[in-house]
Amino acid sequence: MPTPELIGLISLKSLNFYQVSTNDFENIVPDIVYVESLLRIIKFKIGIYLGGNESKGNLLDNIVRSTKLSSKLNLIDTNYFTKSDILINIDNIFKLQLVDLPILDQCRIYCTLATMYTDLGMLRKRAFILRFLLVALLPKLEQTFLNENPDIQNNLSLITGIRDEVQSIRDIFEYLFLIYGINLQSESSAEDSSKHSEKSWLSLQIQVLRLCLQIAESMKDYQFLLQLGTILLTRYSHCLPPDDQIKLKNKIDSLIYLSNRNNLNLTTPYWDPFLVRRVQFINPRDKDEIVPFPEYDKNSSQIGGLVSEVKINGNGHSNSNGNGNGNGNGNGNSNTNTNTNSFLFDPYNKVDEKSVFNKDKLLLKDEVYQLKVHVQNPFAFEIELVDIEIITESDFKVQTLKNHIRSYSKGINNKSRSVTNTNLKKITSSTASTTSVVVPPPSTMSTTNSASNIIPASLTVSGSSTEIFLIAFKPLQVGDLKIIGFNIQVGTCSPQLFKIIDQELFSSSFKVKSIGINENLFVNNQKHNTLEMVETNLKNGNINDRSSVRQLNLQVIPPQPSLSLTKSSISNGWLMLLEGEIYKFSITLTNHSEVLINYLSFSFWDSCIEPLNKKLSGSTGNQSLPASDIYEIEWNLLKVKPFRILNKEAISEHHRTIQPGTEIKIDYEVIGKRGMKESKLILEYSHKRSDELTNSFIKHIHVPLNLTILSSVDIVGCDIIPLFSSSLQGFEGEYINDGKEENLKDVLKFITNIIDSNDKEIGDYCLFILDVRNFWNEKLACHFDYHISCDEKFSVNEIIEPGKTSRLLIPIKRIGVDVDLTKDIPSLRNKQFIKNYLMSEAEDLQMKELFWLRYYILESLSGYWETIDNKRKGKIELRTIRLTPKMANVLEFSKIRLLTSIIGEINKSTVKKESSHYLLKVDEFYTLKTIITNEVNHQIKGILRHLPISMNLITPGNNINLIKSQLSIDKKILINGVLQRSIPTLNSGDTIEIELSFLVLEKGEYEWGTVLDVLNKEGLQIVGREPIYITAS
Amino acid sequence: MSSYYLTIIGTRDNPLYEVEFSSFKPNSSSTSSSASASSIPGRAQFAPDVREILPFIANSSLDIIDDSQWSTSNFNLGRVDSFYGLVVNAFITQGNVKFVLCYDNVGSGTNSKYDDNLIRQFFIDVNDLYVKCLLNPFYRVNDAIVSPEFDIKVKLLARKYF
Repeated sequence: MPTPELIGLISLKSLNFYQVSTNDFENIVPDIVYVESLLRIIKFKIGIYLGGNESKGNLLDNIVRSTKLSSKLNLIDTNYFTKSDILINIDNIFKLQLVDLPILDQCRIYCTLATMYTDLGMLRKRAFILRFLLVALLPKLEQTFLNENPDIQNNLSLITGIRDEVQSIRDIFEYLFLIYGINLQSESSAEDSSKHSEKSWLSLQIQVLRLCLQIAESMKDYQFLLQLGTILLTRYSHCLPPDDQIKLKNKIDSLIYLSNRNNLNLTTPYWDPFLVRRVQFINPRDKDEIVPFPEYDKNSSQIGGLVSEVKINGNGHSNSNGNGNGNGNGNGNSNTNTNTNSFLFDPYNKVDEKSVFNKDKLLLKDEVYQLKVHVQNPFAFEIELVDIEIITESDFKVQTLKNHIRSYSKGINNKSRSVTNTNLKKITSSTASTTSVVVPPPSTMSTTNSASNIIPASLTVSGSSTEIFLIAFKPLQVGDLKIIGFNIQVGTCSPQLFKIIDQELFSSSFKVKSIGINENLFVNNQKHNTLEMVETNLKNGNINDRSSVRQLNLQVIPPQPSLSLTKSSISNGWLMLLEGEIYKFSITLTNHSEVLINYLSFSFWDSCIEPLNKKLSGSTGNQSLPASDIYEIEWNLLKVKPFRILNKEAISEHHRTIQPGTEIKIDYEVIGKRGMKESKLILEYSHKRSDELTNSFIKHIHVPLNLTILSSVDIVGCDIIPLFSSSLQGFEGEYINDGKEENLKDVLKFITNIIDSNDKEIGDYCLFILDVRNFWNEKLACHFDYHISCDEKFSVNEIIEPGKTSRLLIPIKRIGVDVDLTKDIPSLRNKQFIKNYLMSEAEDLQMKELFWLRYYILESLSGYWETIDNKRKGKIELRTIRLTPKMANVLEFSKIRLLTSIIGEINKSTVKKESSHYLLKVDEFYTLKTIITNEVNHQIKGILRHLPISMNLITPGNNINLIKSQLSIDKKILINGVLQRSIPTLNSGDTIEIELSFLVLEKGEYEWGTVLDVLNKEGLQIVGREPIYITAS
Repeated sequence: MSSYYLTIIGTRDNPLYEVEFSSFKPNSSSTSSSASASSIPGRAQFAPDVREILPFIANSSLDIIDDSQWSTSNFNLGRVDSFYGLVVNAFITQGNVKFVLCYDNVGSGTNSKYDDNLIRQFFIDVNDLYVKCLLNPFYRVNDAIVSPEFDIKVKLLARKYF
């Protein structure tokens, strides 16, 4: 019989005998004997089983000498012993009450069992037995430690050096942690975290940890106790009831207190690495207050606004933007001329993104800013932030102003919520000492307790809540500031880095099936130290696998000048103006900063700009406005400047720069513009560095001005009528002597002058009639000037009563001799010309004609008004003048001209004239001379027709036939020739004289009209502007 | 009157469901009649220290279940382990989810064969319930079973068999 089988049989027998003996109280075998023999048998069986169930010599040797088996064999359940046999044997041990045995025996038994399970590969069983061992040891340990070291003082010395038993118990703990999955790093790895929450037996883990706590406490292993507390709070706080959490926290606090008192250097990190949930930068300024220079340049070179610029400093960089947009960012107004290089839009021509600053996140060096930090507390107890410091990337120097840290939500009622600039200024001046924070080594942090470093009391976050804190800081360096987190000390915990949490990371894809405990866990068993891992993870903020972190990127720029308004001659910023009124005022600005200002530009904004811009940008496609209307809007936008700087020269002369602390006075002139409600003077200034333009920034100051514009003098109507020699003759006597109608007198004088002069033709002029109404409640004197030619001017002066309308007459020269009325309507924004196909050719032509006629009238006409007492004075808005096609017809100078005159037949003598009437004698020969001038750029030919009629018999109400016969010149004028005749072809620029001899037979008054029908241009009929009036006697 | 502890263990040694109950049948032995009179039927009567280690026992028996699943073609693994008078029966599903039932076999030592059969039936019925739970599209493998419906049905089964 082979040895294993024999031993198997013997063991069976002996166990049987033992069973029998239990019934006999006299001969009972002690339990320990039974257990020991059982253990030996099992040990032997396992040896055989592991050796491959074969009895070999060396195998027995191995078992007896308990040397290690050379190699792992295939475990087979044949021959002698099966695994289940062995397990049944082990079960037999548990049928006894092992708890009643002496502690040493218990330990031995449990340890042996643990090794057996290890041999059988039953790791969970082993863990189970080891836990049992610990439970059995616990009461004994408590006793031992109490007996050994009754007073704590001696006791503490033990902890400094780890004793052997402490180390071995720690090893057991570590094994338990591995088996029960307590080693999952849920705080630093997303995969472990999801395993931790879903795939582990939490109640087991907590029980194990509790046992560990009890043992560590009884052994007075304080460091271990702290670590256990840390792991429980970090990984299991969600399973712990609030009471337990608070107890743990108190325990940790007392331990730290104990350690501080005895200089044990025990520290614990804070348990929640996700303390800082969110960080916001509070920008105390407006978004557009500081604009980087390159961006500013780009904006201001756009056309379409009202910038007039005075450059204070001449150093480099000439900025040629006479007409930049007033509101800075030329909305709607296209930027067609910004790309000087490319004619066409190039989509691949990418704008250099580098120069773009985030204007929200511009900080000035040495100024105080605030961060809004959201802090969470997932625990049941209250936490207190003892110390907070901002941590930046790459050693960027930032000073955290610790005495200005306050709770945001609690301080809502305080003034501290809105931090004004002045507030911050005070802070800056009060904090004299600076602490430079250099990261990463946290040890270099200075801990000098200057005034700014004392954190105000009670920065607390109550249990299971979040809190927002305002943290003031001051950048001490120029460049890119990247805030990566905060060094925060919570309560008694050691300070540690908390990164800014962005989002939780999840990992939910792992294998569903796994059999047994992962053997890999034990490959590098020695290196595992669960508790220390937690601590290092927490201390180093090692959470990048668990959640994504973010940075707060800010841009720190050098100190910028600050200009502010110190004096304004307008009280309260309100002003009442009449339309067109010109008002002068001045403002005084002071440079309050320590920085020199070497660039200053002025621009304006008023409430009229936006509606006009809107109108302009709205006119695209089908709803486009006619070109003339667009021009009108553009003119209003670009040419009407409500403000003017009066002392531009003086400023650029005296103030090449604005030194710190000095002031500058600017005189302005404002013109009341219709519809203007509010306006702004915008001053843009900077300390420009010629060497690094990208690092220069523009700041602006806005001086608001509220305006009330009331109507003054308005042109309510206008008309143009032809002017003849006979015009207005009838009014002569009635009004002229009044002295009231100066205007009429002037016009008559003007007409007479023309008639009397030799080189001027009355037909070249027409009469412009303006109806002017005074809307104001005072008498207003109006003055109009019309420049007929460069040296000739017609002026009208008229006093208009309040609420009354006056009709003013202005003789103007017909337009069209030396100008082209068919030119395209220009675009003041230099927009591309777009042909409007909705408009016919003729309409288009007429629009252009009207446009240019109006253009020339407005160019020559000017007007202003003033009150009688000379207090108010202003311009008259003339752009309300609108021309109709009828008016245009009168106004336009004909290119083909007909001039007629009468001369004596004999010796070509001139005929006597009385005003516009030729005084002829009956029965005398006269010659009617017609001069045709062709100023068209092509040939003309046509038929000239004379239409003499008799005037004296025309009386209304007569028979129509009678009138006809009376009109007829039969037997009244004798014509030597024909009244209709063709004219020879006239080349461009030619003049022809046609003479017609005639004889008046009957006394009376006649009117002689002349018409030229041009044949090669259809329908064109030229009428002599001035018919001839004849008085025959 | 025996007490039972049933746990369903997922593929990663994680408990999906835990319940404790006791036999609903009145105990035949007269000795414990006074004790059972005060107790509510169906409430488990494990001693506190035993209750504490029940999950540990269930967990440690997984080692044996892992081994014995290869030695039989049945899903019911029968009695796999015992510890201080606590017996552990196990059942393994096709998805390697284990049903572990721990119970103290006081007074039922005689008809253990009968008990095993009952337990086998109970396991099969619980497996039916588990499969139904698995069919729920919102349920993922290895998620804890929190459905009250499931809980009630398991308890009804317990009442039926024990």
